[in-house]
This record gives sequence, structure tokens and C-alpha cells, in this order.
Amino acid sequence: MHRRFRWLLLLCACAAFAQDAAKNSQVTHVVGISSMKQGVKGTLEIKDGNALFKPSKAVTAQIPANSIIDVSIGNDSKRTIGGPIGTLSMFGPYGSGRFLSLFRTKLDVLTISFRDENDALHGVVFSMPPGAAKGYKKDLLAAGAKSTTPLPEDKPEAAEQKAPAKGVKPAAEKKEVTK
Amino acid sequence: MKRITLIAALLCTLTLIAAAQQTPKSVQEREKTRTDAEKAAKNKPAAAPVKKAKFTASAIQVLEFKPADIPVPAQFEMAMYEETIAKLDKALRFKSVYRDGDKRAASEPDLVTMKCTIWGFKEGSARKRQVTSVMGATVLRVHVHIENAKGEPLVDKDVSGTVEMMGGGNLKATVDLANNIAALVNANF
Repeated sequence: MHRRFRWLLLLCACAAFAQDAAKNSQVTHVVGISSMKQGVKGTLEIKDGNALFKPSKAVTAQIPANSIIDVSIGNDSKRTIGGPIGTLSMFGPYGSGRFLSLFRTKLDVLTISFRDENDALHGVVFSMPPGAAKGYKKDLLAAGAKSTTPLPEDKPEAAEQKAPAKGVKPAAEKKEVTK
Repeated sequence: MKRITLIAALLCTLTLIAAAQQTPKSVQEREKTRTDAEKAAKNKPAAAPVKKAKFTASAIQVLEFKPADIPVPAQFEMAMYEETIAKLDKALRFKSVYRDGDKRAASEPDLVTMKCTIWGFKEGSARKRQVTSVMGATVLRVHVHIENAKGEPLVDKDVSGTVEMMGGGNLKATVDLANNIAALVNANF
């Protein structure tokens, strides 16, 4: 019993650590912040009701959570061997560069739509390691942001309610069978 | 027999001499006709180049890109919107470029509004593109409708954006689309 409890504790700790690591991971600005170049890397923090994108060199961008009208998560991928080495590899002999293109890393894409003080619509797209976007969305929703799509973890529950699992008949049908 | 061959040879040489004398004449004639035609063309009044009348507006408001009964990921919608605004800002055709819902746009005297409807979307695969160079293209098709403050349509055209071959990630298609939209706006304003 104690062993099982220990294992459970360890599992929970690992999950929490993984989530923290994903949250503190590097986020890449894809498009949307006009004062920043595309592809700038930094950290995204949700603090005091604001989403703060802190790049290493440029000034921090701030989005008030209560002005966010939609937060959505998507998927993308990038070359595992990218940058100048990845570009140079394309000139490699016997299609070696193309072979390297087969190896791709999955990415999460976080899209934030918000309105500024003039009610003008803005959209910001960030890319981040897989699994990180869910945590950010959760924090943003808790800070007062709105979303048109539910969190990914909410989806299976809703689906279960609509369609019962295989082999399990609805209660009404069961009654008919017993009669 | 000898006579016959001699006569034939003589005839051949005569015809050759005649042809040689005639060709320079024909070349001269051709040159003459050409110069005459050129002279006639020069004398004709030059037709004025047909220029399409451009519209004038001091400001443009870009409305949110909305899909028409097709599922489009939010990142594509937002990237299209943001890239288009950035390109129009850069083109400097208008004094100000307003975003969707901007209150300040209402005070502009000659404002034009751009409504874009996404009617075609095919998400490709960057892996396929880079490995095959032929397959896996991402294609975006948008209907651009620009109208003036009175609601009169000024521009109604379909624009597409693609990313093919070594073009990079799927979102790069939005950059191509924004470039094409900016080109359409520049051609009309």
C-alpha cells in the first residue's frame, strides 16, 4: 500500500515538474507584435492579470488578460536541424539535406486575439514546445481572458456525455432489455 | 547526246544568272516597303496608353478575416489579418490603416473598408514540401471586397497565397497572401 502511494506521489511530482518546465520554456513570437521582429525568442508569463512576453533583448510586450477575446491552441512543426546549418544541408550530396528534412519537431501554437483601448482588434501568434500552450491558456482564462473554444482536456468529457463508450448501452435501453 | 547536255547546262547557268540578278532587286523592294510602312506608322498619331483610373482614399479599415463555411485554424486567420495590415502600413498608400473595430476610423472623411472572406484553405505539409518539392503545398484563397463609405463596391477580387517547395512553415502562406492583397490595393489606389 505504501509502495503504491510512493509511486503515485512520484508520478504527481513528475507531472508537476513537466508542466512547470513546459511553462518556463522558450516561446517564439511568430506574428502580431509590431514592435518586435518575427522569430524573436523570449519567455511568456501571466502575472497580475497581464500576459507578458519578455524577449532577451527587446522591450517586454504586455497584453491585459481582460482585453483578450479569444485564446486558441494549434499545432505546427519545425525542422529539427534548422538555421544556417539546416539551409546549408540542403546542398548536401545525394539528397542528404532532404533526408534531414524528414526529422521535424512538433510545436504548439498559441493564438491570442485582443482589443486595445480604441477597440481595435489585434492578434498575436506564439509558437512553443508541445504541451506548453495548454498551461498558458489555462492561466489566461483564470486571469480573466475569454475563449470561444474549450480547453483540450474539457473536450473528452463533453464527447463522453454525447456518445457513450463502446459496449455500454444507455440506461433507457438497458431497462428495455430487462423487461 | 553531247548537244543536249550542253544545252541543258547553258539553260541552268542562264537561270542561275537571272535569279542572282533578281534577288537584290526583291530585297531592295522589301526594304522599300518596310521603310514606307515605318514612315506611315510614324506619321500616325500615337495612341494614348490606356490607364485604369485609380480610386483615392485617405484611410483604409481592414476587417477581421472570416472563413466562409470552412474550418480555418485561428493562427492562420490572425496571421493573415496581421500580415495584411503590416503590408498595407508599409506600402504607404494611405495616411492611416485602421484595424477591425477601431473607433477612430469613424471620424475619417474618405474611408474605405476591406472585407476579406476565406473561401479556400488547404493545409499542406512542410515535410512533404521539403522532401518532394512538388507535394504538400499550403494554399489560401480569399475574396477581397473593398467598398467606400457609401457602401459602393470598389474592388471585388479573389486573391490566393501559397507556400511551395522550400518556402518554410505553413504560416508563410499568409505572407504571400498579404503581399498579393497589398499588390491588389496598390494597383487600385
